Amino acid sequence: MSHVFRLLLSIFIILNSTLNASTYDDDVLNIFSKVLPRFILMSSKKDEIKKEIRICILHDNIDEKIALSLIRKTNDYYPNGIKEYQLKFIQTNYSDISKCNSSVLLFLLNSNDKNIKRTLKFSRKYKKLTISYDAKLLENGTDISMFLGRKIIPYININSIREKNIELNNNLLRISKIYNKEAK
Amino acid sequence: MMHKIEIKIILSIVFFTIFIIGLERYQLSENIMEQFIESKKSKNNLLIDTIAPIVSLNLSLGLEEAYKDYLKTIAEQNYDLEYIKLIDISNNEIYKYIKDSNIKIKNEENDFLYCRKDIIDSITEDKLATITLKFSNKEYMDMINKNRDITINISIVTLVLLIIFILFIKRVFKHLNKLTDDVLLYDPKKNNFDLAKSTSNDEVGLIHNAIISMVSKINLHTNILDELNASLEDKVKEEVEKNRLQDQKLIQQSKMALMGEMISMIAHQWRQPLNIITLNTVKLETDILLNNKISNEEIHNVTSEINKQSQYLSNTIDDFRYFYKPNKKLETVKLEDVISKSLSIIKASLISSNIEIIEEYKSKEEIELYDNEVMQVIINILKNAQDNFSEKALKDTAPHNIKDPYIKITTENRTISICDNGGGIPENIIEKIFDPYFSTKDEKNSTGLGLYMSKTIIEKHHGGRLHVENRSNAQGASIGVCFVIEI
Repeated sequence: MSHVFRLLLSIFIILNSTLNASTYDDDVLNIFSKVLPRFILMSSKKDEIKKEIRICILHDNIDEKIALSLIRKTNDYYPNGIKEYQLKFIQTNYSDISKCNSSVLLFLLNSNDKNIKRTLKFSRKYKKLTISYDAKLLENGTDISMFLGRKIIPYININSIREKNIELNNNLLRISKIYNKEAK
Repeated sequence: MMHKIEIKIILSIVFFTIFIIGLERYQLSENIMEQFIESKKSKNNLLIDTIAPIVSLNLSLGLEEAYKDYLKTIAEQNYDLEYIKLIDISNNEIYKYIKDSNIKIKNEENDFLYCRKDIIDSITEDKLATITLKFSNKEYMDMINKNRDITINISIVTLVLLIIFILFIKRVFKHLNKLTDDVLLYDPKKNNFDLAKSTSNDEVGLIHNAIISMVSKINLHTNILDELNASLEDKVKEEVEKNRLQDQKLIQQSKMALMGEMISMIAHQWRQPLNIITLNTVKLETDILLNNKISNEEIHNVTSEINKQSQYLSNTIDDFRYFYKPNKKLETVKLEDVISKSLSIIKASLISSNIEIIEEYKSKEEIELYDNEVMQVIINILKNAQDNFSEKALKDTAPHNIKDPYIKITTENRTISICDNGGGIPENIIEKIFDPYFSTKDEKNSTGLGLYMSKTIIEKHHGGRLHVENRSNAQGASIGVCFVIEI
C-alpha cells in the first residue's frame, strides 16, 4: 500500500509541475507585464482612475504562482507606477470575483468555461476591461489578448469593446489585430 | 556706315529679352524648387509624424517584431525612402534599413532629404528612441533636369524669335539705309535724286515720300537761286564798276576842288624863282644901260641861274601835271619819294605860312602803291594842318595862337606819320572828320570830301589804314594831332 501511495504521489507531483511549466510563456508574461497598465491608459477607462490603477488578476489555485509572477514582473517594470498613477494588484481566485469590484482591469489567466463565463458576465455588467492570457478567450467575450503569431501584437475583440462602450486609442487599434466574431 | 539706331534697337530688344527670360526662368525655377522642397519636406514630415506614434507604441509595449515589420512595410510603400535608422536613448542602433548599400549617408540636418524625429512614449512622455529617415533625391534631380530642359527649349525658341525679329528689323532699316545713301549722294547741281515714290504707308514710306517732295522743292529753288545768282553776279559787277567810277569821280572831284589851292601852292612855288630870274635880268639890263663891263663869267652865272630857276619852274609844272594825271597804275616807290613829290607842290606854301617842316625818314622799304593818290592824301593832310594854323593865327590870342608851328613828317616801315602842334581836334568831332561832306571850314573853302577820299584811297585802294589821334603833353593838354597812314 505504501508503495502505491508513494507512486501515486510522485506521479501527482511530476504531473503538477510539468503541467504548470508548459501553460504560460514567460516572454508572453513579460509582454503582458508591460502592456497591462498601458492598455488601461490607452482606453476610456483611464477616466475612472483617480490615484491608482487597480488591476485584478483572476486565476485558478494552480496558477497562483503565475499570478504572483505577473504582478512581480509588472511592479519591476513599473517600480514607480506609470505616469502619476500607482499600480495596485488584486490577485484572486475565480471563485471570489467580488474582490475585483474596485478594479478597472481584469486579467484572466486560464480557467474552465464556467469561471470564464461568470467572470465575463461580471465584466460586462460592471463594464470592466478584460484582458486574457489566452487569445481563445476572445471568443467568450474577453476584450483584449495578444496575438501570438510571427510577431506578437495586441488582439482586440471589437464587439466586446463596443458593447461596453469602451473607446480605445486609435494608434492601439492601428497596431492591433482585430477579432471579429461575426466575420468568422 | 554704322547704323546706330538699328543696332541700338536690336541690342536693346536682345538684352531686354535675355534679361526678362533669364529673370523669369530664374525666378520660376527658384519658386518651383522652393515649392518642391517645401512639398517634399511636408510630405516627409507627414510620413515621419505618422510613423513615430506607431513606433512609439510598439516600443513602449515591447513589441519588437511589430515595429520592425511596420518600418519594413513603410520602406516598401515609400519608394523614395532610402534609409531608416532607429537608435535608442543609449545611442544603440535598434533598427536599420538601407535600400541600396551604395547610398552615402550624411549627417545634414538642414537637407530636406533627411528627416529626424524623437520617439516619445505617448503615456509617460519619455524619450524612447530617435528615428532618422533619408529620402532619395531622384525626384529632385528629375525636376531639375526637366526644368533645365524647359529652359533650353525656351531659350531656343527665344533665339529663333530674336533672329526672325532681327531679320525683320534689318529689312525695315534696309529701306531707310538705301534712302540715307541716296540722300547723301544727292547734289542739287547734278539733280541726281531719282527715287520713285514709295507705296508703303509706314513711317519709312512717309519719310521716303516726304524726302522726294523736299528734293523736288530744293531742285526748283536751286534753279531759281542759280538764275538769281547769275543776275546778281552781273548786278554786283555793275555796282562794283559803278562804285569804282564813282570813287574815281570823287577823287577827281576832290582833286579838282584842291585845284584852286594847288594853283595857290604853285604861285607860292613860282614866286621865288621868278624873283630870282627877274633880279638877274634886271641886273644884266642895268649893267647894259650903264655900259658896265660885263664879263663872260658874269653872263654865264646869270644865264645858269635863270636856267636853274626855269628848270625849277618846269619841274613844278610837271609835278602839278603828274598829280592831276588820271593814272591808275601801281608804282613801286619809297615812301620818302612820294612825300618828297608832295612837298615839292606844297612846301613853299607851308614855308610862307611860317610852318616848319621836319622830315625824319626811317623807312627804306619800297612799297607798291598808287603814288599820285597817296600824294593827294599827304597834300590834303598838310593842307588841313596849314589851314588850321592859319585859322588859329587869325585869332592871335591865347590859347588859339600857336607859337613856332611845325609839321613833322616821319616814316617807319610802311607807315607815314604827319604830326603837328596845331592844338588837336576836339574830341566831339574827331570821330567824324573822315565822314563825307564833313568840314569845320565854311562851304566856300571846303567840300568836306578831302579826308573822306583820303581814307577811301588808303583803305579801299591800298588795303591800308588811315587814322587820327590827338597828341597830349605830360600834363594831358592837347598840343596837336597825328595822322597815321599805314600802307
